[in-house]
Amino acid sequence: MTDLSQTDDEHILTTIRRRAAEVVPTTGDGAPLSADSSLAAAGCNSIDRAEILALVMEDLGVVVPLDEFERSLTLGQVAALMRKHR
Amino acid sequence: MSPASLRTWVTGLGVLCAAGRDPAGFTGALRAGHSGITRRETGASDEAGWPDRSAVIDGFALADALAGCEGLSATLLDSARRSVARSPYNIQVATVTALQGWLSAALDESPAPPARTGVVVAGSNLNGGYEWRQRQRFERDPAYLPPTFALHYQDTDHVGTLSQLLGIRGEGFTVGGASASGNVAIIQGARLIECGALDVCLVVGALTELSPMELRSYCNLRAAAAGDAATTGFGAPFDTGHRGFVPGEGCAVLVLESEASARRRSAPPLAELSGYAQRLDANRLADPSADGEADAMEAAIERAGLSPADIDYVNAHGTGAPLGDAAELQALRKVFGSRGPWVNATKALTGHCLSAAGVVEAVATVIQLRDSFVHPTVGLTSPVDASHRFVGPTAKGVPLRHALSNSFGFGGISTSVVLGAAPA
Repeated sequence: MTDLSQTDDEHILTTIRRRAAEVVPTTGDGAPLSADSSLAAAGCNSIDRAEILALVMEDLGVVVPLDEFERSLTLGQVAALMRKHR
Repeated sequence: MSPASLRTWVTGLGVLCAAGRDPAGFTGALRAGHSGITRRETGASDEAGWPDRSAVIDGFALADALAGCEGLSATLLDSARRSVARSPYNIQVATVTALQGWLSAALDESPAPPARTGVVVAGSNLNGGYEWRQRQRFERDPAYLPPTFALHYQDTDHVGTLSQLLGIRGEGFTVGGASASGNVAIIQGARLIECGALDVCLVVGALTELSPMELRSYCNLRAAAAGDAATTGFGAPFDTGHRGFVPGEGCAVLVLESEASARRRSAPPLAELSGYAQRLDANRLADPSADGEADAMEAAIERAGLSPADIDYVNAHGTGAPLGDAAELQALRKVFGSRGPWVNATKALTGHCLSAAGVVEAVATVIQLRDSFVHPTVGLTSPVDASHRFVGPTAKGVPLRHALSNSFGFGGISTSVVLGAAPA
């Protein structure tokens, strides 16, 4: 687990990319997911997205209320939510 | 004997257990008497309360296991790897085992109609070990519980996963009968074929992954052998040194198929499933009943159109639990008299595979019918009752026509199935 206070956006984005590639290996194909791309657009279905977010929350030691996650969030927006609830 | 139109054949086999990673490996182990039971490092402070032996599938890796499935197309291999890469251990093992059975029945090359193909999974409460691991996350914070837990904690994850991978669109479900689950599933699979609901039924004996609590409960109940075998002795099933069952990990698949469908697909029979029966003792406890067991055996033999004298070999339930072993021997004597058919216990090689045991042992029985031998009951040197025709420490080559395979479970559940050598 990582202390969020010592992390920056890039660390959070790296964590999301790593977990996304574990759950849906094809998200790692081609260029890495950018902060502007969404998990849905990267081919993650709703179960995949929920799984990735639970893993990322656990990695970062934060809890984001379920109703704050929306389908179309970009990686950058997810990272911002994680920061907000640290 | 059933009319030809109702005959149910076994057209495919799969097995992945401590004694063998596939049917060929398992056949070698049965012939040679290679047991998968090994010493178990407990690491517990109260070691005497835990089993010091178990039969585990050592070093299972999904990619390697799939690569070992001879004849698997690159597409199916890739599909299997992607669909279960993050699934629990027992789902991964079931996937590999199901693919073995599917390939062995040539269902890839010569398919049966998807809507006429089904899957029956043996076992309830299969996921204790998986749930135990996820509980640690839940206790850290319920938000960290993976959402896929909702899919994976349910035994029917096996049905969904295998049907998706293999394109099965007929009936599918799980059945539970405690340690008799395997035979209960075989019986239900046979009925689906006999009543015309299916042409092909994949019967899957699923791997039960026990949590530490579940494992310890079997020890505290004195059903599993706990403590250090070096000081207390380690007895095989039916041996005077028996002290309880050895926990085993295993999964097995029997492909059941109507004779008509197998002929249409030109799939050769490996054996015939000729009879079966289940009986309840009207007893919720763990104590076995020789009468219930004998009734199940007699009814299965009668359904096969045979008499006890026609049975050449019995694959006993034989867990190594003293009470259970004694009841089964009493039941065998009631049905067959003394010096009846050959008797062995596959659990001496595989450990007790719990829900999967009936299917693992049906696979062992089909292999022995096919190859005309009876496997050793490894470690059986001092039988509790010498009047039975036990297969001792070495295999014997004998022609076999009809065999009976027993599975009994807590709650007074007794089952027997009759398997016959492949019809000409």
